[in-house]
Amino acid sequence: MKKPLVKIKFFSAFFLFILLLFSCVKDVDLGQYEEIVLPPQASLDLIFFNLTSEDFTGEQNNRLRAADVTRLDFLDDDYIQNNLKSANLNFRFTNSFQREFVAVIKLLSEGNGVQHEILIPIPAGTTDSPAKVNYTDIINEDQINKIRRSIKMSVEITTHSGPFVDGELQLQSRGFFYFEF
Amino acid sequence: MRMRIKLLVFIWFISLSASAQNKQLIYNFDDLPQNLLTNPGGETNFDMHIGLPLLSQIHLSAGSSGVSLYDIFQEGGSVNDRIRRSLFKMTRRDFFTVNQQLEIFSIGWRDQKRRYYTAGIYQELDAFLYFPKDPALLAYEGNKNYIGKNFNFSDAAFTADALNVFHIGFTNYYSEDLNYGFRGKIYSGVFNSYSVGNKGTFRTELSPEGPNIYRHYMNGVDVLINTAGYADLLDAENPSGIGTLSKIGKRAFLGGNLGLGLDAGFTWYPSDQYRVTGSILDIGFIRHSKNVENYRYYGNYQTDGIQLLFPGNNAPSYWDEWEDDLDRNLKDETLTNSYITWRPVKINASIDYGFYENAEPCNCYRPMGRRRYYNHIGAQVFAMKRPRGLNYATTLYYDRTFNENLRAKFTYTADSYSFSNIGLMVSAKLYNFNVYLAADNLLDYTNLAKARNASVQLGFQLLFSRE
Repeated sequence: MKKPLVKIKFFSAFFLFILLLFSCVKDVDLGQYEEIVLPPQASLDLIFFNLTSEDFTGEQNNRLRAADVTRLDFLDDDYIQNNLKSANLNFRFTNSFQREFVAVIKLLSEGNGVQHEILIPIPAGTTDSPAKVNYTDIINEDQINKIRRSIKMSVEITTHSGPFVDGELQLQSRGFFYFEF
Repeated sequence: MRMRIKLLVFIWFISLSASAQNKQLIYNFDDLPQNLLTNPGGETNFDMHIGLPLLSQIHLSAGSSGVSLYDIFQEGGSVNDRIRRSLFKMTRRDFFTVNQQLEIFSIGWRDQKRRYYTAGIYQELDAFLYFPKDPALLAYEGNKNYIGKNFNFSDAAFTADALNVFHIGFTNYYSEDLNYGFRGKIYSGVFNSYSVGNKGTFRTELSPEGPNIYRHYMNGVDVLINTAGYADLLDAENPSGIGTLSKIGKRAFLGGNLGLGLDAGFTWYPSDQYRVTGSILDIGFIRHSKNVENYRYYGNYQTDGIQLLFPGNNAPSYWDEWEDDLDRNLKDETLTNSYITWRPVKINASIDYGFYENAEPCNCYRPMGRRRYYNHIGAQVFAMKRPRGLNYATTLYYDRTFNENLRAKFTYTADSYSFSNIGLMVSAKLYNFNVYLAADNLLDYTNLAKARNASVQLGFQLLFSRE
């Protein structure tokens, strides 16, 4: 009885050996998993507004002013803090007032410290032919900490004093966010 | 001619998809009791069997219909370029699957009326994931270059099951030409996760008439992930501790979510040399009511960004209002609703032709009154129900009995993994001790990295005959 058992062991071992002998994983380098990068690019709406003459108040140094601020809490999320590599902020103004404006857009920290500032002059337009400004601010990898440190966006629009003629000042904006996960 | 074209189209169609649970090497192999697990109406060339506990069937298979390890990790070049190419090449119909079975206990015996009874317990792990094309594309590429495209959440679908199966069955020899059999099953669920039938789209559109540059849409979103046997393990202080193992053990032995199932099959001889067999397996369900958690995300939402109103000193909390609006419209819930999962039904059918007659004296306890043959060639079709329909595989086989102690089966299978799946099984018997080893995709064993799928089965058992 001993001999057949030996044969069985030999038989099973032989086939397992043959299978294992010819089975292998080759021509691959699994270490490449460390090089894997997910590079999504997101396009997101940011802020927008439509200003009329009634929104401008206060007369300081002969200038009228309209200002507002919003939190952008997503700037504090992990994917921004750890994986955002660069960003482009695109602002499109449409001005049908017959007067010039200056827009100052700031990225602010929790304590309202200015992290990044964008100044955009807006030329005068007319109701029939509004002036259009398409401005893109590029924040590259060296500057990306400005966004990571920010949590708010403020907008301040100023113009010279004096009576308004009918018109509107519109802003549309979007952000292109380039990630690496 | 038209019939031939139809036949070719049919073969091409069924060759497009397949399953990792196809046991084409064991099916119709009447020297092994495991044949009865693939066809309860199959024949058995022995009168009693006792499986060696935990060793009578060890089955492992894994497959990926769209990509191999080599496609991604081959040496040289950029791994990220290859991932990107694979991402675009694969479709929502591609899938990944893993199946593992371990027979814990197995026994069978023949009664005086030549019926063969079986009983046993096996453990099974089965996971199936469709490639979530659109969510993967969105995660990898983002929406910047896909303005106007609907990213469809219905692409995300998966099932995962770990369970023990307690079964008892019999094969009845109705006549010399026809056997049929049934097997009843009790499923004892250890873990389940099920997410099928998800709905909804995400889209970003240019919005020339709107207040901002884009408008982002989440339309008709309803994503549901059901889980059972997961929540309390997650909450356990020591997930790998004795307490957790004890919980899993109880669930495996009828202390968890239970279900019922049925297998049925037949063998029919239209003539001595031709054999037709068929089986349907796992017509059954599991009701998940214990330790259930369902995660649901649903609703409709669209946004243009945040509108500044320039109200003066009392600026509203624009962000909080935006988030509240989002949460009102897209809801995130964790529920504990019971749910039912249907087991993946499997169907086998075959026809084969026997030749080179075996003239050895037959065992009259068995229904072997007809002529027997050393060799069989045949064709088998396998189908398995998956969330988006049936998956198929077709096999041609040659079954060769060398002598009463040594038998082998060669298979060629066409499926969605490849058109070059060659399989081999060898079963040997020494006295009452039987050992078998089966493996498919042998051509890829020289470099498994290039294989889209591979499976291996082996087992040891005692077989007895009333000679």
